[in-house]
Amino acid sequence: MAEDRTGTFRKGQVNAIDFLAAMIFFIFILVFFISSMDIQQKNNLANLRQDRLLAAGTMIGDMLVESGGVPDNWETMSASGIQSIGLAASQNNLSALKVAKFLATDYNTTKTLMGLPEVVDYHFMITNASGSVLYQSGINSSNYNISFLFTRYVVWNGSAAWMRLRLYE
Amino acid sequence: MNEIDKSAGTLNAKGVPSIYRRAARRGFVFSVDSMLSLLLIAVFATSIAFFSSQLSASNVPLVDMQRKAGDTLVLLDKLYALDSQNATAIELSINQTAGTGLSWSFVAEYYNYSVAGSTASFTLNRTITLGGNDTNINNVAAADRAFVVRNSSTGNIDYYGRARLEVWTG
Repeated sequence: MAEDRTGTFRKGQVNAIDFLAAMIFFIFILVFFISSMDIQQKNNLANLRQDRLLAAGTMIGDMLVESGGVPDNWETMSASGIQSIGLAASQNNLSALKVAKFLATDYNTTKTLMGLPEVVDYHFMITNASGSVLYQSGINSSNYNISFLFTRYVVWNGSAAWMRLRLYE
Repeated sequence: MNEIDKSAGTLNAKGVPSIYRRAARRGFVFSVDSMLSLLLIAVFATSIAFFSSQLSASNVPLVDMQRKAGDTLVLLDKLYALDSQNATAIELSINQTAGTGLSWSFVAEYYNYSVAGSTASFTLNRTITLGGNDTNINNVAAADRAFVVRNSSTGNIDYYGRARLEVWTG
């Protein structure tokens, strides 16, 4: 250690202040960087959840309006024999029998058959072209974190109608 | 002073231990180091932020728009708007469906089919063009549909047709 003319040991103090300042600055940057990454990661996770819900809604919409379900006569069977639900008599043309069976089936059973996870709920509607509700089922809750409405254009009883499916969690 | 001489080298002509000269140089080197490291951290953080924001981009809205365009063409076909060749009826149907909240452009072509000897050919009979202009639009979703127009009394095919509907936001 070097002693200066005043009798104090300056070398060690100067280096300590440098080091302390650098350390504080480094910690500040590190904390800022980690918190930024944390926020970014949370945003990405939220976007991922939204995309999953959007993808699920798009696929379920396809399944409902473009397929007749598996087996094709599922509307005549008990819930245990149904593999998947489809409402179409032909592409985008809804079958009254299949829609009636879908509306009458237990909510949790339809949720499972549509492949929705436990945390996701749905509300299903068929409206006419002027927006009047013809049929609806499911849970129409206003308590949710994420919600998406999927609208498909269908033929119902020979007229244009809107099939609306809202997924939320 | 003897202790310093042992660990930090010799005294110069002014009696200052050589360790101070080294310390002064080390301070300069430390500044360049810190600037380089800060630059490196900034580049690293910026690149992480950039790629993270790229990850969050989604194509799902485009898929939804494409479904809406496809559904609209199916309805035009199944509710006989394409058969009618009535531009006003087609425009009204599109405005009630995919046109709700979206800009769109529509083209339908009607072809006559003929066979001469061993040669079959399609001849364009009529084109219906409706909607806006999609020039300079980046995110366009489109759907195509082939259809036939049957004669209402004979049931024979009058025209073979193809329709294309493009939709975009804004």
